[in-house]
Amino acid sequence: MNGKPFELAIYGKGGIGKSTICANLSAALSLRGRSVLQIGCDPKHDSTRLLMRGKALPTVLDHLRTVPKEMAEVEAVLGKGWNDIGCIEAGGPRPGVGCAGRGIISAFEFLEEKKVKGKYEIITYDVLGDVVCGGFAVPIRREYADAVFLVTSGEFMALYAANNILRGIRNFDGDRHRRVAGIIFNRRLLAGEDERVERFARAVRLPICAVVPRSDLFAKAEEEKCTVMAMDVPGPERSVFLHLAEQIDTGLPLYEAMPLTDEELEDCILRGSTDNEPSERERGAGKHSSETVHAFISKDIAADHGASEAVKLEDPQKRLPLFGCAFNGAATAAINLTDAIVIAHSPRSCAFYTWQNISSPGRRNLFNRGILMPSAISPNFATSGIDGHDAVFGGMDRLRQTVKAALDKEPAAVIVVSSCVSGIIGDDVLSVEDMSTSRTPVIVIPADGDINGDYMSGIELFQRKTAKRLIKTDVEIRPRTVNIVGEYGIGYYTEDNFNTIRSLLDDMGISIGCRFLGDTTVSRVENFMAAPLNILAADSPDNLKLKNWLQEQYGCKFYDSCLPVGFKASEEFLLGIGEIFGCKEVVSSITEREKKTFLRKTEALRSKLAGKRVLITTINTSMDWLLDTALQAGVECVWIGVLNYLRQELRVTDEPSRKELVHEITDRQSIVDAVETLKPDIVLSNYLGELPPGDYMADNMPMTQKVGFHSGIDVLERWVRLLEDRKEGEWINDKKFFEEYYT
Amino acid sequence: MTKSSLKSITPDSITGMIFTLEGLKNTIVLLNGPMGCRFYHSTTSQFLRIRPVLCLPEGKDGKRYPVDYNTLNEWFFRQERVPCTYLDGYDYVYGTRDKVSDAIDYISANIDFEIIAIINSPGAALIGDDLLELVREKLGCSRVVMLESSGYSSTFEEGCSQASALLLKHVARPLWEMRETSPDHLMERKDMSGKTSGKKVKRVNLLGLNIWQRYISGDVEELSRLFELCGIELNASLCVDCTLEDLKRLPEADLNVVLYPETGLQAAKYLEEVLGMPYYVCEYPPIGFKATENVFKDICDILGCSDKALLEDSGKTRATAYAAIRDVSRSYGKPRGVRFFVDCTPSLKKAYESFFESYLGMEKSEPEEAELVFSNANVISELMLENKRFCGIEISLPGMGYTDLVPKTHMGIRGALFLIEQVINGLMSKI
Repeated sequence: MNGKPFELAIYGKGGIGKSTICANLSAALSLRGRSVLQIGCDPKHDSTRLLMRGKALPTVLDHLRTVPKEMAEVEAVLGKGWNDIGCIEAGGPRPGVGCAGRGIISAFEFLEEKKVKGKYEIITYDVLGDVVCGGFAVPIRREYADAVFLVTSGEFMALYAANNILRGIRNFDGDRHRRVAGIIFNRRLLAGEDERVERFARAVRLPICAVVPRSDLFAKAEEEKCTVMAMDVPGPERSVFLHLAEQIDTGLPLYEAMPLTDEELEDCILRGSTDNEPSERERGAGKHSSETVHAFISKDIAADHGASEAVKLEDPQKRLPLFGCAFNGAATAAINLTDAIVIAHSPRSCAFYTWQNISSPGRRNLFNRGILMPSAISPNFATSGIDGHDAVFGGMDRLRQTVKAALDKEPAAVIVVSSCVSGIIGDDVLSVEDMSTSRTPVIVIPADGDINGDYMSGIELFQRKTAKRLIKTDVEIRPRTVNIVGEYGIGYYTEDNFNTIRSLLDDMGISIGCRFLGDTTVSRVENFMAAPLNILAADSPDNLKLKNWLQEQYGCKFYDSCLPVGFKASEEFLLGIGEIFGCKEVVSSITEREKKTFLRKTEALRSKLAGKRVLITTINTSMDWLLDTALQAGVECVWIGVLNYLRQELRVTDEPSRKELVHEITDRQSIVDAVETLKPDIVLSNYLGELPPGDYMADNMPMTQKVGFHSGIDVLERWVRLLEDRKEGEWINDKKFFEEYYT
Repeated sequence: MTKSSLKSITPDSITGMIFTLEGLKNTIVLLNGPMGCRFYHSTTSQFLRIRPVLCLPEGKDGKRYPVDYNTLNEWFFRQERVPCTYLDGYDYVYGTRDKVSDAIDYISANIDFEIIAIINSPGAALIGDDLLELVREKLGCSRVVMLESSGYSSTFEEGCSQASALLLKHVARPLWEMRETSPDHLMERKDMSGKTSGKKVKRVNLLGLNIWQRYISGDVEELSRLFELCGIELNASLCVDCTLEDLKRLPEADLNVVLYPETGLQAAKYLEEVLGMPYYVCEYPPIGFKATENVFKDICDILGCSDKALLEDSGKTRATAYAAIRDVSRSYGKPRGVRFFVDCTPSLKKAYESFFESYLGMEKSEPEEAELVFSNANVISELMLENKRFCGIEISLPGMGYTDLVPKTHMGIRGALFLIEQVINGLMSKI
C-alpha cells in the first residue's frame, strides 16, 4: 500500500448483514495493525454501532443540519471505536423528505474538505445497495473505492441487488477497469442457497471471497454491542474475517464488473441455468455508456409511454429541447399580478434569472428612454432561497417561513412557483395553500423547474391555476367592457399595442376590464366574468389553447379575431366590435379619420419607395398587413421564405396572387440563393442568423407586431430612413484587425 | 404597499462559477442543466465584453478559421457562449451522462478549445453523475474542470472562489507536474540559472478576478501599468483572458496578489500548498490613491522593488484631482459632507467607503438619504422608482446598458481619478 489510503466499499441489500460484516472486517483489519476508518453510508446510520459499543454517533448530516457550514467540525462526527477504529456515519434526511442520495454527496464533500481520510491506511464504506442512484453510487466512483465487495445471501432479492451494484460499477468502469474484489456470502441456511450463490458467482465471473457462517455468535455479539472480533472467541466466525483481512492486506485480485440481464439473472437463480455468460448487451460490449441502465429502465418507460415512445425518450437527440423552463415562464407571468407577491421556491440563482428577465427591459427603458416601468424595475418578487441544507433535508420549513413573511405584508395574493430542485427533492409545495388567509389566497404553481415543461408551459400553468383560484362566476355583468386575453408579458410592443387598442376602444365608449394576465390586479381577475366579451391578443397556438380552455371552463364569449395588425384588419376588427356593442357609426368615423392619414402617408412613401424590391424571411405568420401597405407604396415583394417550425398550414398570405411567392425553407442556403438570384433592394428578416452578403438594405422585424391601422406604415417609414443612409462606414474594413487580435 | 421592503435578487454561486471560467481564453463552459439556467449566462457573457473568438479544429490546410455560430445549433442554440445539455425531467431520473457525452462529442468535433469546464446546475447536482472521468476519458486529456455542485444559494463569491481553485487543481496542476519533469523545462531551468548575472524581473499573478466585475478590462490594464512602474511584470491574471499557457506559467511568479479575498484567497492557499508560492492579500482592493499606494508599497517591499515611479505618477494625478475638487469645493462647499451609499461585495465596499470618507470627506448614509449611490443598476433604478433625488454611479453589474469601449477602471491611480470625475459630475447634476 502506498501513501493514499486503500478504500474498500461493502455493498449489499438492506438487512443482508453488511453492517455486521463491514464492522467485523474493519476490526479484523485493525488487528493486523492497520489504521482503519469505517464510514457508514446508510441513512439508518447504525453501521458503526458495534464498533462504538452501541453508542450512536451524531451523523455528518445531522451535524451539517444544525451547524453553519463554516463552523462544522469533523471532531463532532468522528468517533473512536474499538481498537482505535475511526467511525463516521453519513446519515440521511428524515424519511419522506429531502434526498438521501444528495445527502451522501454532501457528507462526502464535507469529509473531503476536512481531509479526514488522509489520517488512515484503510477506509471501509458500508453502503446500502438497494438504491444505486448517483448519490449512493458515490462510494463506487473511482476517486473513492479501490475495491468493491458485494455482500449477498442466496435470496433472489439479495442477488438481484448484487447484480444491480455490478451494473452501477460497469457504468463507471466499462471494461477498462477492474475493481470488483468478489462476493461475501452471508449464509442464511436456505434450501439450495449455496448452489444459487455459486451459480451467480460463476455467471458474473467473480470469486466468493468469504462465506460467513450462520451462527448465534453474531446475535450474541449484537447483544453485547460489539463485533465478533472483539469477543475473542476462536472459531469460523472469527477466522473468516481474519482470512479476508489477510487477503486485502496482501493484495486482492480485482475483476471487471460483468452484470447479467434481468432474464439471465432469473435463469441463473430461479431456473438453475448453469450456462449463463454475461451478455454482450449488459456488458456494453466495452462501450462506456449507460446502455446497461437503459436496458434496465426500458421496461418502466415502456409501461408508461408505449414501446416506441420509450425508444424516443432514451435517445436525448429525439427529445425536443425545452426552451426555457416552466418555473421561469410562470414566475415571469405571475409578476403581472401587480398587487400579489410572487415567491420562487428555488435556489437564489433561479430567482435571479427571473428577476433579470423582468428587470432588463426596465433598466434599458430607464437608461435609453428615461421611462420608469415600476413592475419591471421593482417586481413584487422574492425567493425562499433553497440552500444546500434544504436540498438534503427538504425545503418546506424555509418555504413556509417565506410565505408567512409575505402574508404579513397583506398582499392581494401570494403566488408560489416551484423550481426543479424542490421538484427533485419532493417538497410538498401544494401544502402551503393551506396557509391562505381570509384576505390573501396562497396559490401554488407546481412548475418544478422544467420538469413540468418549458417557458410557455409555465405561463399556461400559471394562467390556468390562477384562473381557477381567482375568477368568480357570480359577478355582475358590466356592459360595454371587454377583456384582453393572452398578451405577451415581455413583448417589445406589448404596452404600445395595449395603448393603441385602448385608445380606439375609448373612442367607441368601451372599457377594458381585465388584461388576462398582463399588468393587472387580483380584483380584476376575480371580476373577469363581468366583461361580456373577450379579445385574444394574438392567435398563437398557446393563446388558442387558452381561449378554448376559458370557453370550456367558464363558457365565456370570445370575439372572432384577435388584436388587428394593419389597416384592413383594424377596420374589420372595429366594425365587428361596433356591431356587437351597437356603435357602428362611431366606427365609420374612426375608419374615415385613419384612412385619410393612411393615404397621405402611403403617398409620401411612394415617392421614396416605388420600384423597390423586398425579400422577406419570416416565421409562419400573416404578412398581408405589410404586403398591402407595401403594394400601396409601390414596393414589389419578390420572395417570402417561411421558417415553419411548427409544421402548420402556411398562413403568410390570404391573397391568391401572392401565394406563389411563398416558399417553406429549412436552411440558410435557401435565403442565400434567393438573395443572389433575385437581387432585392430590401431584405426584411426575423431570422436570427447572419444574412448573406449582397447590395441590399437589411431590416429586422420583431416577432410581435404593432397593432392598429398603421402597422405597415411604421415599417415602410423605417425603410425610407434606412435606405436614405446606406453608406457603410470604413469600420467594415477593420475586420482584419478583429480577426488578428481576437481569434 | 409591499414594494419598498423588497430587494433586488443578486446572483449566486452558479453565476460566479460560470463567469469565472468564462473569462478563460479558448475555453468552453458547458452547463449541465436545463435551458432555463442557460439563457441569462449565454446572453450576458456574450455581451459583457468583446470575447475572444473560438476557432474550428485545425483543417487540412493547417489554418485556423473562426467558428460560425449561426451553424452551431445543437447544444449552443446559435449563441456563442455557455452551451448546455438542456436537461429535462427524464434526465433527472435516469441521469445525464448520455447528454453530456453527446455534447462533448459535438463540441470536440466542432471547436478547437483548450479547456472545457462542466458545471452542474442545482438540479443536476442532485443526481450525482460521475462526469469528470467520463469527459476525461472521452477527450483523452485532463484539461477538464468539473464543478459537481454549483451550490444552492451560496454566494457569488463562493462560486468564483471554488471555480478558480478547481481550475488549478484539475487543469493547472497536471500541467505543472508534467512540466516539472519535461526535458525542455529542465533545460529552461538550466538556462535560467546561467543567466543569474542579469537582474531577474519580479513577476506577480493577480488572483480573484472575473469578467462579471464592472470594469475588469480597465482594472487589469491599470494594475499592469502600475506594476510596470514598479519594475514588476504581470505574469497572469486568474481568470481573465487566461490561456492554458498562462496556467502553465503561474508558478513562474514570485508572488500571488489576492485582490479580493472572497474570490481569490482559496486559489492563493492552494498555490501555496502545492507550489509553496507566497501570497499577499490586499487589505482593501486598490481603490483610491492611498489604498493603491499602500498596496503597491507592500508588494514592492516583499519583492524588493521600488515604488518611486508609482508615487510620482500618483502625485501628478493627485494634482489634477486637487484642482477639480478645489473648484467644486470653493463654489459649492462639496464634496465634504455629501452623503453616499455603497452596495457591493464586502471588500470592495470597504475600499470605496474608505476612499470617499477619508479622501473626499463624504459621509456614509442609508440609501434613502444618499446623494450619491454606488451600486448596480438594479439597486439604482429601484431607488429612482421611489423618487429619491440622487445620482447613481455603477460600480457593479448588472449595468443600465451603457456600452464601454474605452477601458475604464476604479482601481489604481487612473481609477481614483475617474471615480473623482464621476463624483464631481454626479454632484453637479444635483446642485
